[in-house]
Amino acid sequence: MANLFITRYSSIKHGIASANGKTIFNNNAHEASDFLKELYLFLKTDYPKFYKMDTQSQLGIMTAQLLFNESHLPGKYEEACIGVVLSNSAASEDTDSKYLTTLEEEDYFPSPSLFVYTLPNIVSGELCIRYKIKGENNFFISDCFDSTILCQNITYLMKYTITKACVAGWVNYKDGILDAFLFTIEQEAGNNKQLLNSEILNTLYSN
Amino acid sequence: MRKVYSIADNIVSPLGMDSSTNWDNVLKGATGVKANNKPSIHLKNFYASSLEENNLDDTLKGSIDTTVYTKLEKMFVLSISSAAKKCEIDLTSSGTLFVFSSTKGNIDILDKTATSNIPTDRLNLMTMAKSVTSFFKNPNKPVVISNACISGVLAIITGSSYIREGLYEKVVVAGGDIISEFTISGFNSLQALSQNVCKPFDKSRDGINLGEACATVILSATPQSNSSDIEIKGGATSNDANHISGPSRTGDGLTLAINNALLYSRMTYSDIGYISAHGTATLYNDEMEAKAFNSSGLSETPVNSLKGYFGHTLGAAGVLETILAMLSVKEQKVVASRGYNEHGVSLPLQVVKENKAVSFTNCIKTASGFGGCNAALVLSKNG
Amino acid sequence: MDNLILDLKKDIVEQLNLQNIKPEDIKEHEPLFIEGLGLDSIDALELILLLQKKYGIKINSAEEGKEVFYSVKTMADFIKANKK
Repeated sequence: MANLFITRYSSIKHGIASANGKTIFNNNAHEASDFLKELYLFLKTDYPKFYKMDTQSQLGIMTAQLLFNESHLPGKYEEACIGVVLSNSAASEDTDSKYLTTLEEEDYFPSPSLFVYTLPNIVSGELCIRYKIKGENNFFISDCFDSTILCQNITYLMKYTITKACVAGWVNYKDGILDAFLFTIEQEAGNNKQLLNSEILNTLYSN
Repeated sequence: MRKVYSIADNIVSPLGMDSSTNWDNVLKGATGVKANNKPSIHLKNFYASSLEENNLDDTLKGSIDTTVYTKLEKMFVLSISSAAKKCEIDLTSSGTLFVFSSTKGNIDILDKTATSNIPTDRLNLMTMAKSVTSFFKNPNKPVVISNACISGVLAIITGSSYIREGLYEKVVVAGGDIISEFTISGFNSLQALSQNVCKPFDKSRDGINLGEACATVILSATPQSNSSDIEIKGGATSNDANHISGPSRTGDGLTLAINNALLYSRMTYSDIGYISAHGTATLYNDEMEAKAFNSSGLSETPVNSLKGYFGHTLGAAGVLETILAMLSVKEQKVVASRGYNEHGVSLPLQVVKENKAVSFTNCIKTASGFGGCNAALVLSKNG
Repeated sequence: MDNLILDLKKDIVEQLNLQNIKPEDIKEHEPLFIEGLGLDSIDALELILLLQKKYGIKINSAEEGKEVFYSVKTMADFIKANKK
């Protein structure tokens, strides 16, 4: 089996949005959803659907925008050959709480637009819609970023299925804290020439 | 690449506490779906398939302290231990991995009339999974998959991958979800609930019934001796990349998943003798599936949906319905697609109206879910 | 009637979380769905909620609501005719 390479990565954490380790935008004065809106405007994103998303999906979409900003992963491979393997610990906790507020006894109006976001994999769906990604999907729940489980799944997909590239990582919004880390995996080394393995992923995630 | 077999299984549902009782009840045309009224659920007279917690506690009496586990956790414990009794497996071994599938886990902890003293950290799916693996004293971190309604099928596919790669000797795949105010109110806000027992593929279908269940399959690289274990041939997932809650109008995403599942199983559509569809009985899902089955050459293949017997059991569905598909292969019998009378999709399908004997070796289980995801799994008779 | 139209525009922006749109930018005769604002099926369900919450009018299905929700003007006309 050919080697697999981490060709790009991006993250949003501690008020910093970065791509390939380079800070693109920072502002730790803002509340999470305001930070994401500021970033949206800063990157001149033209995707109005962003405003309808829940905070976790907005987090995923902006981290993906940083990931794909200059690269052409979505255009480089056939739609069906790109997989999305994401994970988090919160599932959809924040939106679950917001949905619950629409079930108050005195003001009982369950909101469909909140309910549809009360599943962790909706962020994968939003990524797939924006970037027209149609391949394999998976969503794992773990206590913290688990590079092993992601490596195992990505390696399996790239070895035994038509998957030629993966977008993978961690998109977690919990207790007002944004924590996302995405990376792309391909069979050809990019400029970074980083082999896919757990240790490297852990290092990139923690930096 | 190693082969994968399902060597034991169990279903815990309103139709029974083991797979064969569930199968017998399905053969009789019984359904767990009925009108419900519950103090914790705002909607009155909602049609769903609900499991009595008292029955569950009675069955578990003596083996577990039923007061410190949630309803779903008790269902997992019962289902997994029942399946484990039917095969050679050491649940305490590091060579045994647990893979869980659930969409909302212990979400009933939030229900207004919940009286239990379960701490709210068990709302977390991994925490819930660990409370189950701790009960069985399994040393491994469980794998928890939460990918909407394809979770169960995806858990079997993912669980199989660990066997194929030789990472574990045995994989216990367990899927479960319960009924709660959260999910009932939510699906109701989407106007997705049927006013009666659901009717997949039927002209007068008007939506889904929710159901609660837990189902387990135990996977291994070697079949049990002298058994009719079913082989998990291959599976695939895909994304419609179209809408986060509405099914694709073309069925292309599901077609891709079906075609890839066949490709990875080294088969073509003509090898498939039966389809266990997702068939939720919404206007759009069933129409989408009809398109996908036609696009992948399966319009002449006997097909059914089991949602009329169990309701839509979300995280359990993919596992539960796979077990029944395996029973169909073993018994060479396809059960009626309960609720289907008049063809109600725009393309032809061979929807099974009455239980019938069918001679076949391979079948396919499909699923689709919110977030635009689809999954397909190919199963084969062993030998 | 003008107040109702203006209120409706504000309500729509709020209920549907259209944070990038100003109420005054919505034209009252402009189609809300497919073209114009490009709302979708989930938005239709939220508009049903809006009518119920604020005006006490119940619409049973998105199908039933199709003509009502064509534009802000058709919504306003419907509310005037049916408000409790």
